[in-house]
Amino acid sequence: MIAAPAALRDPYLTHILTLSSVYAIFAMSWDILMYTDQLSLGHSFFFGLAAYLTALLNSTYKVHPILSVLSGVAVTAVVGLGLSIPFFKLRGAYYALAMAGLAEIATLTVKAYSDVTGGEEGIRGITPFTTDYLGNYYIVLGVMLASLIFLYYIAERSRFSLIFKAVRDDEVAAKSLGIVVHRYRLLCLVLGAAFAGLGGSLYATYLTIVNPNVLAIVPTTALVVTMGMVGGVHTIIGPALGAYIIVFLNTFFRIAENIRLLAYGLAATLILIFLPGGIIKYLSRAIDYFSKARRV
Amino acid sequence: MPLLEVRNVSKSFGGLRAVKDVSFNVEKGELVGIIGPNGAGKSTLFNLISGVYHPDAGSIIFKGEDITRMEPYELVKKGIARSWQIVRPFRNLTVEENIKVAFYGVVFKDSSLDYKQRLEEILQTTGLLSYKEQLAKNLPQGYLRRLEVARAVATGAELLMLDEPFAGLRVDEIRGLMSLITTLHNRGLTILIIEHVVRSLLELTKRVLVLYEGRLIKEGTPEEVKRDKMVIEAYFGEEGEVA
Repeated sequence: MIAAPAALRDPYLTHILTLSSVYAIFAMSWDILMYTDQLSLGHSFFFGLAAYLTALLNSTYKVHPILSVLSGVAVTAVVGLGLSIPFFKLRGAYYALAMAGLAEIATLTVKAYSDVTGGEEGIRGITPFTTDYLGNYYIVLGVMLASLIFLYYIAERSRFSLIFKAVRDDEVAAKSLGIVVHRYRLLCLVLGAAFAGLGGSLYATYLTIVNPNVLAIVPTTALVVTMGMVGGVHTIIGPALGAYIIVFLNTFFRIAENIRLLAYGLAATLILIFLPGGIIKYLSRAIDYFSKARRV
Repeated sequence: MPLLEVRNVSKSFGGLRAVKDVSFNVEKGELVGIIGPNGAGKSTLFNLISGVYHPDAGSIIFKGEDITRMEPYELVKKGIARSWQIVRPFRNLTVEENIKVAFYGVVFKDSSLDYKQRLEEILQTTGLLSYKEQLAKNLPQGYLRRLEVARAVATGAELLMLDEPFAGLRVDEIRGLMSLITTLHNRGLTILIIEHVVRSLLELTKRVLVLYEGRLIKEGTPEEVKRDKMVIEAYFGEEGEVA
């Protein structure tokens, strides 16, 4: 994956891979929330918020791209922290819908204040890190891999892993054993918000354009949820993989533009029906199977 | 100073007064049973002490400190742990991991050497050692009850509260659990048990409290309680036999 674009020298393929990496960060950020059963059906809120903030700082106020990305991440992290107060008592569908509401409000707000945000047109002319497509590819890939390692460590390899699982299995029992459940929910919310922000900021600097779609439930939240489900929830790696699959499916079906959305939707649905639990589950089973077979 | 003091505690749900002006003490090292018919307020009383609910009136004192308004996770750190009537294992964790969660809840540090030893010790005492690698969802009911007790012990509690630990168990499973409770008690744990299986409880404890319609109607040794006319009428109705 590291050498492929360089070998192929294909700008379009490299672009698709870069975009996939951006979405992979976003998908992992959605998944970390799922570790404490926080289904975010408005995750585009964080992604879009950071994208717009980065765009505004960079394009309107001429802030350096790196600094604008960092600001995007910092602000979403703080917003996540602040949201933990009203969202503290919400569970399940209520939580999911409240999140969706946030994304909707943000989308409408951005469309309404067009003198600042450019309305439906969005913001253009964002300065990228570099104009070299391979350079962008490696920067985004690097950030994605670092995020993957960090989030995977937190979610699966640290002592949090056990606590997250316990909270998912039975929150009341966890509390009765002294687990301060809201502290762990808060941790996931801040991480989820910050990494979604990282994805959104990178999206803005890479594509050099943002529009209200980045905040909208459809397509952006719908996309991240599909990536997560197709890849495999509660695995971190799965949603990242899901991002590549979904972006590629989406691109592949451009060969038949008039049925693209239909074909893409159908493909995603088939994966969900026939591979419940996500692709990563079957992939790791297959790897287990073959590595055992070789040993025997 | 008693370990636990319950002072004039009351709790209502809507118009229903589930617990009415209940007071009692538990001394350090005691094993006390609470019995009463369905709806007597036993579980509510338990939930009040363990912080799941907060009383409308009255106070609860643990080791001289007022804990009336504390949350369950704070109470665990103070030294009160409980099990649940309907078992609540972490089904997708192994037996060993279930117990580790209880360690993490109390002290936020990695399982160092003495924690490994403590884990082994708890697994050994509760008879779960050979099941430690198994997922909790695959355990039989009797062992799930042991796991409940094991997790509560793992929090390092001084006061162990067991909510109907014998409910739904076979006679041999009840025997096993009774001997486990006795072992823990002999090691110095203070234990408070709510029970429906009255026969087992009266065998186990030296002091019994009887709740009826939210009130404490009798307190005494198992023999006294068994002979008490009011208890027989209130609790056992027409059957008229205690144990």
